[in-house]
Amino acid sequence: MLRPVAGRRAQPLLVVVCLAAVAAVGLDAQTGERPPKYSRLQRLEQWTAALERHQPGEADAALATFADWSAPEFAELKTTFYSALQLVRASTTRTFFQPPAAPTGRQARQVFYSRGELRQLLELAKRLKTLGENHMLRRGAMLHADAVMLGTGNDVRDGSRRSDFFVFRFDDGQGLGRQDALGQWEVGRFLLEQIRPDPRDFRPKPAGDDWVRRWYRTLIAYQLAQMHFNVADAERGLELFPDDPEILFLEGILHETLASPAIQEPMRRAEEIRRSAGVRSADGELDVAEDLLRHAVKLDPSFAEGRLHLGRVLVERDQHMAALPELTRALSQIRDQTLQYYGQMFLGRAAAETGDAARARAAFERAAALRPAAQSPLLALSQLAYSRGDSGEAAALFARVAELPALDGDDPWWIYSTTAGRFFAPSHREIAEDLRKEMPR
Amino acid sequence: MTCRRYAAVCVVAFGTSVVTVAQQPTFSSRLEAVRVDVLVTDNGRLVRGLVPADFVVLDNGIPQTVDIASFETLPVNVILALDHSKSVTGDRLAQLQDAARTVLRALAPRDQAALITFSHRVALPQALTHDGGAVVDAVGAAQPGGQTSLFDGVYAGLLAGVNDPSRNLVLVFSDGVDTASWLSRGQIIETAKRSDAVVYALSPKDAGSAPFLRDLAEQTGGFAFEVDSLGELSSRFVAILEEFRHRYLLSYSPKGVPSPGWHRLEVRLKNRRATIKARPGYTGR
Repeated sequence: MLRPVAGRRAQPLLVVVCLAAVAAVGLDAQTGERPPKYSRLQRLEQWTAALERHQPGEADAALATFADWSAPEFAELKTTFYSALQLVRASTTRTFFQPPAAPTGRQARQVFYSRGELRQLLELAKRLKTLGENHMLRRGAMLHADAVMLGTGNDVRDGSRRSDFFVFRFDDGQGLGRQDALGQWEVGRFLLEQIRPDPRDFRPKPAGDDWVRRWYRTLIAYQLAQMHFNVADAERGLELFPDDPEILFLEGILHETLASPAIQEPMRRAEEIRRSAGVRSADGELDVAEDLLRHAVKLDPSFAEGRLHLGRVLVERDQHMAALPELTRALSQIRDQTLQYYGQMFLGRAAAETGDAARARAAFERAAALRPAAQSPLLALSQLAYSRGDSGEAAALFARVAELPALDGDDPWWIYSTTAGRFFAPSHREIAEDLRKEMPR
Repeated sequence: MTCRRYAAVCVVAFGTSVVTVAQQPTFSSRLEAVRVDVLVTDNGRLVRGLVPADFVVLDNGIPQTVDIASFETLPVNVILALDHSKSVTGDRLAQLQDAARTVLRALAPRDQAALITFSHRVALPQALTHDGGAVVDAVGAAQPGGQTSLFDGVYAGLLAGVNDPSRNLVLVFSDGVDTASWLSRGQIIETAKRSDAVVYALSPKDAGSAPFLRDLAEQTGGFAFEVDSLGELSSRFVAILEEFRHRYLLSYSPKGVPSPGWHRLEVRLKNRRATIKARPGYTGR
C-alpha cells in the first residue's frame, strides 16, 4: 500500500485539532436549543435511506442528508440505531438500552419507545438486516467518513449546538478559535465498535475485522493529509490494532507531528485545550512517536519509510548517534526522491550534531542535488560552513538561497508533516471498492 | 538617502590585526580580533566620551588590551529581518512597512541597509546597499503569506553583513512562532554567539516568538522589546538606531586565552559606575 510521493506542492496547511469532553474546558452551557425538526425515528429513517442510497467513496446526494443535522441529533442517532441493531440481532427484543458509553463500558439506561415508534423501529431494523449486519455497520461508518471527507471537509458547522466535541483551529502556530463539532467521526467509530466477525460471538470484536483496520488506516492518513487531528479516533485504531505496522507507522507520524511547534505553541498558551485534546508536551509526543515507529520497524524490518521517520524522531530527541544507522539503512532502501531528500537532510543534521562535518556536508549536498530549488539544504550547508568559521562560504551559500525562484513547491521540507497523508486517497479508494463489491447488484 | 560610498575601513584577510586608514577611526579587523558592541548608560542616559583606558574587558577572566572606535564616526549596517508570514497583513503590514521606512530615512549617507523577509521562505529582496531608496522600494514590494521560518530568517539577518566591516545592527520583527524553519533554535543561538552583529528584536506582547527573541538579543548584547501596539514600531526602530549609534565598539586581539570554544566576556568601567550592556561571550573559532 505504501507508495512513492508524487507531484505534491509544498503548501503548509491549516491545522485543526478535535477535542472531546467539552465540559472539561469550561465552555458555556449551550441554551436556547431549537426544537428538533424531525423525530428520532424520522432521523433514523433518513439515515437508513442515506445508507441504502450512498455509493461508498462517492460524493453523491446521500451525503447531503446530514446537511441540517445538529450535534445532539447525531448523538441521538447512536441511541436509536443501537435499538434498531438490537432488533436486527433479535427481532423479539422489546427492552432497549442506551449504547455503552465506552467500548468496554457497561450498558446504560433503558430507552423507551411508544407503540408507534416501535413499529417504525421494527420496520427500519428489517431494512437494515437485509444489508447484512457487518456490511451495514461498515457502510454506515463509510457513509459518515465520506460525508466529512468528500463533503464539507470537516465535521463542524456553524450554529451546531450542545456538542460533546469541538475543534480547535490554528494556523502558523496561532489559534484561530474553535467551533462545535457534529460528531460524525464519533458515529462512524461507534458503528464499527458493534462489528462481530463471528456472528456466534455475543460480544462485538472490531479488532477481528480487517476492513475496520483499513478504515482506521484511512482515517489517520486523512488526519495527516488535512492536518486535522482527532487523537481519540486515531488512538482507538491503535488500541484495536496494536501490532499492525501501517497503523503504528501512521500513528507514529501523527505523534511526531503533534510534537511540532506549529501545534505545541498554541497548546502552550491553552493548557486546558491540550489536556482535552489529549496532546502531550513535545517531549511526550516524541516519546510516543519513537515507541510506535520502533515497534513498526521491528514488526516489518523492511519498512524503510517507517525507519526514516524513526530516524527523524531520534534527531529531534537529540539521539543523533542512534539516528545515524536508522537513517543510513532507510536511505539504502528508499528509491523515492522526496523521501531520499528527507533522509539526506536528517542524516546531515545527525552527522553535524555528532561532529562529522564531512558526512553532514555530503548528505546536505546530496539533498541539494535532489531538489536544486529547495532552500533548506543551502541553509544547512551555509550554517555548517559558518560553524567551522568559513563565513565567506557561508555567505556565498546564502546568496544562492536568495537567488532561488520564489515558487511554492520547491522545498519538500515545508510539507514533511503531511507527506504520509498521501496514503489517504488510495486507502480510501480501497475500502470503498471493497464495500461496493459486497453490495447487491 | 543619498548614495555616497563609505570606504573608511577594509577587511584584511591576512596580515596584521589592525587596519588603519588615514584620518579615520581605528579598530581591529573582525577576522583577527574580537569586537564587542557596548552600551554604557547611567540612570538611563548614554555615557559619552569614554576612551579605551576607561574600559576593563575580561576574556575568560583574563584582562585584555582594548582598542576603541569612536562611535560617532562608525558607519552602521541596518539589516531588517521582517516576518512576512500570513499573519502580517492589513494594518499590521502597513505599520511594519512604515516603521521600516522611518528607520531607513534616519540613516546617514555612509550607512547601509538590507532587507530580509521570511515566511516559510527566506528572501533577500535587497542586499546591503547605500541606496536607501532601493530598500524602501523593496519594503513596499514585499508580499506577506505562508508560514513562519523565524530561525531561518534570523540566520539570514546575522549573515547579511558578515563580510562587511561596518557595525551590523539586525532589527528583527516577528509576531509569531517558528513553524517552518530548517535551522533549529540552537543553531541560531550558536550562530549569534559567533557573530558580532547586535540583534534588537521586536514582537507584539505575548507573541510566541518572544522567548527566542529575548534569548537571541541577550546573546548578541542587544535588546528584545514586546510592544503593545505595532503603532509603536516606528518610534522604537528610530530609538534603537539612535541608541546603537552611541554604543562603543571595543575590539581586542585575545591574549592569554585559547581561541576555540566559548569565551565568557565581562566588560566594566574602571573608575565609575554605569550600566553596561554587551554580549555575554562569544564562540572562538
